[in-house]
Amino acid sequence: MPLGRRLKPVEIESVLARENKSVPIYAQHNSDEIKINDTNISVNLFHAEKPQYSFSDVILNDRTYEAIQDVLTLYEKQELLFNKWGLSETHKKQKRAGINLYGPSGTGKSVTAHAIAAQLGRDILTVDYSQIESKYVGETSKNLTEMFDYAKKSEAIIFFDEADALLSKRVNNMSSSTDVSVNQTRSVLLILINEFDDLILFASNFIANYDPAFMRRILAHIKFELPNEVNRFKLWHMYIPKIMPTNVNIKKLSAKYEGISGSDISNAVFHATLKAARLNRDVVEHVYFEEAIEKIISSRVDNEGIGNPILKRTVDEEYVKKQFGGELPR
Amino acid sequence: MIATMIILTLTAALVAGLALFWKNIVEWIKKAANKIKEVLGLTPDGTRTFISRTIDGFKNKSKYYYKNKVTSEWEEIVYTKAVSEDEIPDDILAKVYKQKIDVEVSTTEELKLAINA
Repeated sequence: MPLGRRLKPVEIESVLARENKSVPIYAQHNSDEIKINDTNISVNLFHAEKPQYSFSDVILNDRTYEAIQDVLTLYEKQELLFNKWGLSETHKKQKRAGINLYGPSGTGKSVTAHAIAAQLGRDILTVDYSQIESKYVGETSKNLTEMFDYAKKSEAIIFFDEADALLSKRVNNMSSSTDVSVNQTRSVLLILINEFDDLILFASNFIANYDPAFMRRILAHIKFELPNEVNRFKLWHMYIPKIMPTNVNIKKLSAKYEGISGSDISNAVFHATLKAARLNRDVVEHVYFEEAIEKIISSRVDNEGIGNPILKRTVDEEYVKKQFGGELPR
Repeated sequence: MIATMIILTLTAALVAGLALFWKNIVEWIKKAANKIKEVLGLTPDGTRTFISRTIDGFKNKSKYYYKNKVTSEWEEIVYTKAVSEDEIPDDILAKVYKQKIDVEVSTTEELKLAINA
């Protein structure tokens, strides 16, 4: 079930069933509001879940992984840090830090958020802002308040995915009711975040436009980078099933294609496999993986009309000479 | 070499005189070379151009070669760009159709001739 969204009436029954509250309910769905009649059961409209991934499911560059572990020490050794070593006297507010995971799409930020929750033994409440935002004035703030209340009760870690829009700067020169509403929402969010005495995770692609007030609330900004060759090798290896019949040369793929994310690699494996099946081949040919990843790279937005550099690689001198009729270019 | 010649000596007048297909390639090479210079701080020592027929249509490829001053190794950057069939000159199209799908056909010499014509 998607997380952090309002449940449809038909989904409420499954929530109740999961919670062993199998009483008849009569739900009316009226735009954004769900009312439960003839029952005193309170149904939460947000849903925390057990983490779906651990750190064994994500391949991160060492620097990123170490930075995450440094911050998690704060939570894993709270007793030592704040009570035995006295940080509660001098750094009381640091107990409720936020972690901002930022970097290009497909670099494992969302999976890492789950892995963090798993390491801390906590449930995770993923918040998709588009599900909280309402066209009605004041309703978005109300939804945010409900969501934080739910997180407190369920003791879940809040994870704001795609947090760019939510945390961007408040508007200084308000020229419309929309601007007023946006500022109101962000002010409410800031208050809620400041009052929330627990870990909050954020994931974003851009970091430049954050409101300074939010920035102060965040203890660590952890950069996610596209994988290097070693990690690309691990990712290809991870995403190609062990039982798949294939003549793929993972080392060659890892060296040849730079600037790709784990998500790109996952998609390439999927499409290469589909092609082999479509052509009734017994094995997934190496060339299918190359075609798939080149197609993914080529499909990216080409703002400058240059096309996409599909690969950058080191080549030997003889290869270069061959390209230029036996001489080196000069 | 051809790359240096293309990148450094093409003038607007020369470009204007080329058929659209070649004109687009020349402008593309200039843009890509500038991008490489901007991002990597390098001027490619040479370039080659190719065309291929793929399952998604025709693709122009331009390949740039430079010697990495730190490692002293040669490096290659490949750019690809879709091109519509009706833009491709007949002689090039015929060469492409003689080859299997995905096989690269060099257009470097034809480009050189078009520029010098």
